Amino acid sequence: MAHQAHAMLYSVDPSPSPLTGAVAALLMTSGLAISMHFHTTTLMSLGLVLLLLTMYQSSRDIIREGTFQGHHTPPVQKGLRYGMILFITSEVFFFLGFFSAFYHSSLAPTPELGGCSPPTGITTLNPFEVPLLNTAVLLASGVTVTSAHHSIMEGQRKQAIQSLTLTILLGFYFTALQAMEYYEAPFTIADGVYGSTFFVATGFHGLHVIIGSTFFAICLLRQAQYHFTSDHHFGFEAAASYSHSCLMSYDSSFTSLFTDEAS
Amino acid sequence: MYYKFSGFTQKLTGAAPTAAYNPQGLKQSLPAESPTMIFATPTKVVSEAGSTVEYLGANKVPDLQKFFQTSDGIPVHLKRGYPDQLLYRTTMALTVGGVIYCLVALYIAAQPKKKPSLALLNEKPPLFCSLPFLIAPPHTKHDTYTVGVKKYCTLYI
Repeated sequence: MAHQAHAMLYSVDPSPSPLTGAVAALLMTSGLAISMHFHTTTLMSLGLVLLLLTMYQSSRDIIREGTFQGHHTPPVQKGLRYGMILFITSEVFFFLGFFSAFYHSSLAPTPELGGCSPPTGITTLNPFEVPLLNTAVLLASGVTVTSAHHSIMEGQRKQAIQSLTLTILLGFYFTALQAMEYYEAPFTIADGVYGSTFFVATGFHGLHVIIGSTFFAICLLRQAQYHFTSDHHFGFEAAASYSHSCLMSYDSSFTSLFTDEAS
Repeated sequence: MYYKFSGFTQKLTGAAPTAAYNPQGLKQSLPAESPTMIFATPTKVVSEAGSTVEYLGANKVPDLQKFFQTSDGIPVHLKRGYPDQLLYRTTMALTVGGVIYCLVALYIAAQPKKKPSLALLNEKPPLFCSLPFLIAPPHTKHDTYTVGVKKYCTLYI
């Protein structure tokens, strides 16, 4: 049995993507530091271009290995599932760090903040305006993604494409609303620990929504090109799991960061 | 035109042949007839070349599977030939160039700053020196640099 399972695994061809991805990370981080000292974004932009190139080529290669070369056998799929679960778990802990930063400062506010939370001078956002709409938009996208999943499993091509498109549009709507909130907010990232924790947490969350929308856009292209079958559509399931975890983190932010008083 | 009974609206709605009002869908072997419905204005006729309706293009996956499974020893990231090679070479050039640029930029950034003097503040780097052109000269003001977020008020915390 172990011998059979081994025969169903495969080794990937040598690829330049790990190197180019690592260099992209180097250029983006050093570029960010350089941009703050020398007011030039060239290095950071180069890193971003390299990141986009790496993303395109590595996902193209995985699609070739799985869909076209048939390497994603059940044991391989199991490994991919474990990988995605572990990655999402690491993202959850990443966000937990920012939540703990917020609670550290808000549950026992220092005299420098006015001894109260939210700190003196901060005009908070009303959670029942745009933040509530954003929560509803993300929840709706959870509904549409479940509908898309069931359509794929039932082999209903047109319905799957329509639900996926709607999911992506809802993701873009969220991003647009959040961008407007950022522009209109009465406080900035420089406004003490409240501003820092608020914008860093919601900023990383917004980035994750953009990543989720991009992942779904790739899934939409693949669904239109008949890559997914009713039994085997792990790419879509990975995107759906990632987006669901994103939604959960927004729900947690909504109850903690956006409220007028600390719990 | 094929119909199915929509449980949601409780009416007949348009459907693809496979979802038509027959629980098993239309039998693929039987040729389906489409009577031309003539109304006052001319209508489109659904042509019956095949029993499946294409939605957003035909299925090219079997052809691609055959193509990518040819055992020619070429790694998967170059399998398509010229377009793959072009992309790979561009990416590699940007990678190597980017690493060199990054190391030089970090080396320059690590140099100790000269003590500011009136003469130095008016100095500009030579025009055709590429690196200081790419990295802004050190006399730019720092205090007006914002992160792109509207400054409403800052607390001195």
